[in-house]
Amino acid sequence: MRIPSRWGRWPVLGAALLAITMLVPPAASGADRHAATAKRVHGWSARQASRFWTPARMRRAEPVEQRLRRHASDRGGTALPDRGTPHRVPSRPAAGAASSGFEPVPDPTAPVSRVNGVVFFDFLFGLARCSGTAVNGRNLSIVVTAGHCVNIGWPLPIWFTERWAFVPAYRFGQHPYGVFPAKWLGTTRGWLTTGSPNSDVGIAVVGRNERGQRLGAAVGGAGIAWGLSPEQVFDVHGYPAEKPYNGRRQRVCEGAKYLGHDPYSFLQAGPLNLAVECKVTEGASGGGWTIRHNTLNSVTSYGYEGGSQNVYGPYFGQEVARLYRQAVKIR
Amino acid sequence: MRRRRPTAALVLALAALAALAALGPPAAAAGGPGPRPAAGALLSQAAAHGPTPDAPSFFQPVIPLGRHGNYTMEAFGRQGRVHMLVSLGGRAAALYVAPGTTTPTRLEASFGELGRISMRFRVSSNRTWVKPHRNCRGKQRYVNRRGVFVGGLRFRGERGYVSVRIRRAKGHVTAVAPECRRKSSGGGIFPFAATSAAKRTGPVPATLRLSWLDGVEATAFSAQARPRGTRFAAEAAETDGKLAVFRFAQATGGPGRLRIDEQLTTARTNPPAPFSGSGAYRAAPDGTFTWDGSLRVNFPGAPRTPLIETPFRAHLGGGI
Repeated sequence: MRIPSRWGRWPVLGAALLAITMLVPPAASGADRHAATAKRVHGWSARQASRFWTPARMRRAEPVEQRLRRHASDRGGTALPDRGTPHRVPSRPAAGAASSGFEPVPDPTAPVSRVNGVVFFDFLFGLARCSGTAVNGRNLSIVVTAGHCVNIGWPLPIWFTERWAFVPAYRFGQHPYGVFPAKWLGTTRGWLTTGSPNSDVGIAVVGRNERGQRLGAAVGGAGIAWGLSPEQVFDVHGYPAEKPYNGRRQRVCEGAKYLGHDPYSFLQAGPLNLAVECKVTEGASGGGWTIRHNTLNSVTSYGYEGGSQNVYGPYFGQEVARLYRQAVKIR
Repeated sequence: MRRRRPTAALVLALAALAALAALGPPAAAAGGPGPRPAAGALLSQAAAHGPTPDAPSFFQPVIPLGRHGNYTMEAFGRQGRVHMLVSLGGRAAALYVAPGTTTPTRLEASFGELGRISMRFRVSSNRTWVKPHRNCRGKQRYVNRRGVFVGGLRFRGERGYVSVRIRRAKGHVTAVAPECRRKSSGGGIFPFAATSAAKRTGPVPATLRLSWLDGVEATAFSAQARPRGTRFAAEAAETDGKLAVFRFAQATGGPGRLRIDEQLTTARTNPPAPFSGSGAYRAAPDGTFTWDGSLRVNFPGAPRTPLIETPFRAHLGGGI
């Protein structure tokens, strides 16, 4: 299934995919069934969002993974990376690493780039950030990101409803199209009930910015596709904030080819995930993987420590389709 | 982006094996001699990566396939994946995982060139057990139904190291009541991992760890000096389309098989079978290091897998 982008560059493919969808019985989408997979966000206006998310606060926000890890460290938790070991030696860069570089986007306000942005929110452990993508939908208010950027996931399904906002085309603390506060957050049932990275997809419905514009009217929206073959060539977008990056610029790995499935994804519930080569760091979570430049088909979920060049994203299947259909109904 | 350690996939594979062990009582109650490969010291790391959670309503169809040559085989389903476990005592194991259909009455999947399974479960009359699950509180229950799987199963390991072809086999389906709440041990379905992490007190044993990550393939080797001898383990994970293969091997040797200097800058190791050859680790003051030698391991289905490759990631640490 593919929702055409705002620019509608591939009407033929869109029609073909639409025909395919019509052959597939629609998924059940009763409100009760999805009640637990979404959360309304109350009392958060565009003006408040704009006032709160000052350039200083946006710079201070750390990738959500770092926040969670630091908290685990403070509590003596087990979810810790190796630290202070006597002979921790960084791995050698693999041959051809340059091809997987996360290159800065020269102009994030260009039509294809401005749909990408940074997700900011506040939660128990401090100001946090992820990446996200504005996606076309009839409410013109859809942001797709990673599930762990809206909810911690199983076994602690805590929603990140505090001061959740999307800043498209973010650059060096600036928000050229304004700040869009969330009014609804949703994730997949798989992420909530199993914590499987195979289901690590989240969607936000955002309100108008401080200028009264809807997200889709301000920046447009990428298309979205699901149920396609995993063998695609992706452009991986995001705002990596961990070294060697600093999170101030939008970056992209262009033409990242599908490598296969992570073996780890076979041990988790849900559809097998996708691996591509792209040197991504924390902060890029939730960043969009687009095919043919403007059709979203996955998001950045996780990578491995130790100089790995690979990044992994969930397959967009029926679970994502259900979530999207649920989100576009939100007014 | 969430970060995982390079060996996470491997460790979780082991954790999956351990999960089988953790779910042992139902299988044992059914009388099945299901293989229980030793999960190895690395299980403690599984807790650090977060265990694979149970589905809200868990069930597991299991077909013990008995011994085939030196190997013991078992097929089982879980969370939409069909697993074929081939184990060699407690020394080595291979786990083949393919997405498929797993319901309380069906087990279907293709293992690609290695074979396929398509079997239906027929419950035997008067052969259903309902017993308390050791990981459940109070009156929580699991149901263990014994019966017969009919249909077709054929599996031939790489280069025919193991082969099975059946149309009918005894088996069982274990279902844990959805409302079953695990004990709050912090270990989820990995009580072994939690216990081993919790009991780890005193000096950290000297450990040499190396890992390789290449595309969607990963290999790891570890050697750990312990009071009762040195423990060696190697793991590998690879995918081929819709099939993932996890392999594991372990051995215990005398203290002389891992020699580490007091400054933790050099290590030499020559583990016993199923390993062969030796490896030498050397760290230089400028932060570079080398790992040389002829070390290999005989995994089920992948004999003489080299454990000397580049590029790699290494760690030598712990107290002596």
